[in-house]
Amino acid sequence: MANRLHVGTRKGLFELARGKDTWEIVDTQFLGDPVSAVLADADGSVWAALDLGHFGAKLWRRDRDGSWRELAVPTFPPKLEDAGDDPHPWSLGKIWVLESGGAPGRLWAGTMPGGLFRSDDDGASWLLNEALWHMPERRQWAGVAGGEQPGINSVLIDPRNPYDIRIGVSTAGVWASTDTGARGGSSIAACMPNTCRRSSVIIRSSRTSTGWRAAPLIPRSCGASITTVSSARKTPGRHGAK
Amino acid sequence: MATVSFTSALQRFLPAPQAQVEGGTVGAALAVVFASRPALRGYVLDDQGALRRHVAVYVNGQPVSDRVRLTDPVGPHDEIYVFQALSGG
Repeated sequence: MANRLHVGTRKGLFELARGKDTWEIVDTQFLGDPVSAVLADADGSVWAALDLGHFGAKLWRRDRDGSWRELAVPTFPPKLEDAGDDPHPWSLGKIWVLESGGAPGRLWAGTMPGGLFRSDDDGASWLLNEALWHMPERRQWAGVAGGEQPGINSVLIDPRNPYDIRIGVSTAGVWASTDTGARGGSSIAACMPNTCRRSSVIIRSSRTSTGWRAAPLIPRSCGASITTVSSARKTPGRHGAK
Repeated sequence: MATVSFTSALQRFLPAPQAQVEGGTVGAALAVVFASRPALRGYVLDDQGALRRHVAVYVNGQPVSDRVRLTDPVGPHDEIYVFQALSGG
């Protein structure tokens, strides 16, 4: 049973510890700043993404010794000349989700606009998944209400296969890699939703070989958070509602 | 040497002291500052090197006209001020 909670809010990051009868706030960071994503590692490391209104998305890490330091954020490459009609900016809006998985020290960041970034050095540097970003269908992704950019709100790595990656896009459904998301050389297949309602989504995962394929959704749904329920894991994955 | 000053709102997040730099253009002057303070760059510019949407830059009290390529000229005695734009209602 977890004894610590890390809660990212629009007004800061709060760490709660289980007390005898209640949860108590034991630490407060970034008071007043929007925290868009949090990831806590079993070794005590914590990553927090900030969504500063004026100054953009930022990423901080709390090391095991308790000290916080700022890390470089994922960045998009220089916009290609033939991408002039891309409706999405080639610039980080915010980090929407942080996940670990696939290899020691490996982190994943899902962003708005819809970029998937991987770090193999605990978040010190980031690499864009080029295959997903350059996929023509990505330009069809629609943002959520209010004119926001589409974004990746969930990243799941199959604990049995680090190349089996699922992402939830708001609002463009669930997309699946079954090959080399890590190498960034693959195509990607879509499963576009035809309805926009909150519902349960079941994706049956399997051992995979090469290539990207559509992730069948049961029932069809628009992008919502996804999480794993697997007999291979003793503890459930992180849950979140977007 | 042109003077580059940053809003005190940035001091909450990282050091952003006033700097004396060779100018030419706004972009060139800022690049000199960011060369010595690389963490500051992402607070002012987006991934494509344009001014962040909610950051404003003034030269001698006038807002810069080129927010994308930062080509506004800067003379040796000019004052560049970087601060947060007022947004929303």
